[in-house]
Amino acid sequence: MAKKYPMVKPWLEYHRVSDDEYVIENEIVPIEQDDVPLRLPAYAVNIAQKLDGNTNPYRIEPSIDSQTVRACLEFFSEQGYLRDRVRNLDLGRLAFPIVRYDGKPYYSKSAVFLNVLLSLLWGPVLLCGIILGLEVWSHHSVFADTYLFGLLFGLVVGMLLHESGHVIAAKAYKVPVYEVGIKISLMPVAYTIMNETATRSRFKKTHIYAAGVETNFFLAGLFLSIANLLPSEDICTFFFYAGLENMLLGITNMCFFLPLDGFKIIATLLGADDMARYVLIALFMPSLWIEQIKKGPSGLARMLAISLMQLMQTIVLIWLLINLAVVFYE
Amino acid sequence: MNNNNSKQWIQLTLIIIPLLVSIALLFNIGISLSVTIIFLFLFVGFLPVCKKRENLWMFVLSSILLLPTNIKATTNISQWLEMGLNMDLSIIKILICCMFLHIIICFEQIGLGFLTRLIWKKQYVVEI
Repeated sequence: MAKKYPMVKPWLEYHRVSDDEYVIENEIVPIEQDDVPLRLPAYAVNIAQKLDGNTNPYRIEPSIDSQTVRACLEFFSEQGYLRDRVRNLDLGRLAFPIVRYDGKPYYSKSAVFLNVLLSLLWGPVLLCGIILGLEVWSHHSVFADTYLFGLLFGLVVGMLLHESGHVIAAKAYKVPVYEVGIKISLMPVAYTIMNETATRSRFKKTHIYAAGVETNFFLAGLFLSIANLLPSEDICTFFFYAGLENMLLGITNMCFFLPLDGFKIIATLLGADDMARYVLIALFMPSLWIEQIKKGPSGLARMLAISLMQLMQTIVLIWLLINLAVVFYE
Repeated sequence: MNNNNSKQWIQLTLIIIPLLVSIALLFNIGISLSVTIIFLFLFVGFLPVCKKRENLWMFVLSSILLLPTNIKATTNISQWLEMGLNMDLSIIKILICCMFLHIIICFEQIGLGFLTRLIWKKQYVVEI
């Protein structure tokens, strides 16, 4: 349902800088900002924090006159603090939220239940799916023309349910979730905006990042199993390729490429929360090697780990070359 | 401190042993993989240089020690591509093998990283 009143982006962070002044920063969805964040009086921050789309801004603080409130709203709009009704402009002009949350972390029994169920079932369902899928493949009943529809269906459902896996895990661990949507860049990708720093546990963070892949593998197993049960070759092909597509999505997301879940999982397990920054910095600072090696073997290990992560970024180049080679070969 | 550092560097030279064992056991990928993983956990668990940085060392050492096994697995895939899919174009085969190598490394690292974190929960943060 559309919100009636203006809504401030719930992922903004408010930092107190003096007795009555705050600065607002966009740390969860970092965007390039030329200017230093402006200082705001406490009453403006109070209004900002209560603008959730359902509250009349002129009734938040009765002591503040309507002119001041209007000036605050205009200021928030100019600074880009207000949520756009249709798009998420922080992620680009072609980012469209599908589900918006208020970001308040609250205990959800259903999320905990679903999270535990997914964690326990994805492995057995995938194994079952692989065994049944191989049986279907060996009977050569997966060559109907519906394979393209199956791939497309698998991609769309896989992408959306992948993000819902992240949301379920985040809600199970009381991590604030703000938005799920689709962003169109080189190809449509789904995204989730959440604040993983709300939990200090590395296991919970790792599980939240891995939940998307678990969902894809679960769907892969499910679709491959369904394909085995269906008599019609068209529908069998449809579900078989939907299952394959989800398997591919799961495997792709496990790769150590920067924006993917695999990178975040390994960075969390290593204890290198800033791994993305290190991978980029180390490219432009070769003197860092000497500096780190002087610290001892641990310094060498750090640089080797960063170099390995840099090498893993070449997966995109390999994938592009494969596609080019296939096109030229055909 | 310098004495400590030099002792740690000497400890690191011990990784030659499991590397040679891993190469020697390549006739059977399963055995090579299992023995190497056992060596990895022993190294990371007992070497003083790895203390409080178990995940970091597991990541680095497993990339080196599991490389022979991973390359052997990739060459097996390459033979399967030639026979099973009748793929005779070498450039696509090489690229698919590189992709496969990347994928197995990712799965191994995540699996080993997870187990390492389960065993050694308290570790230093990796910072530059």
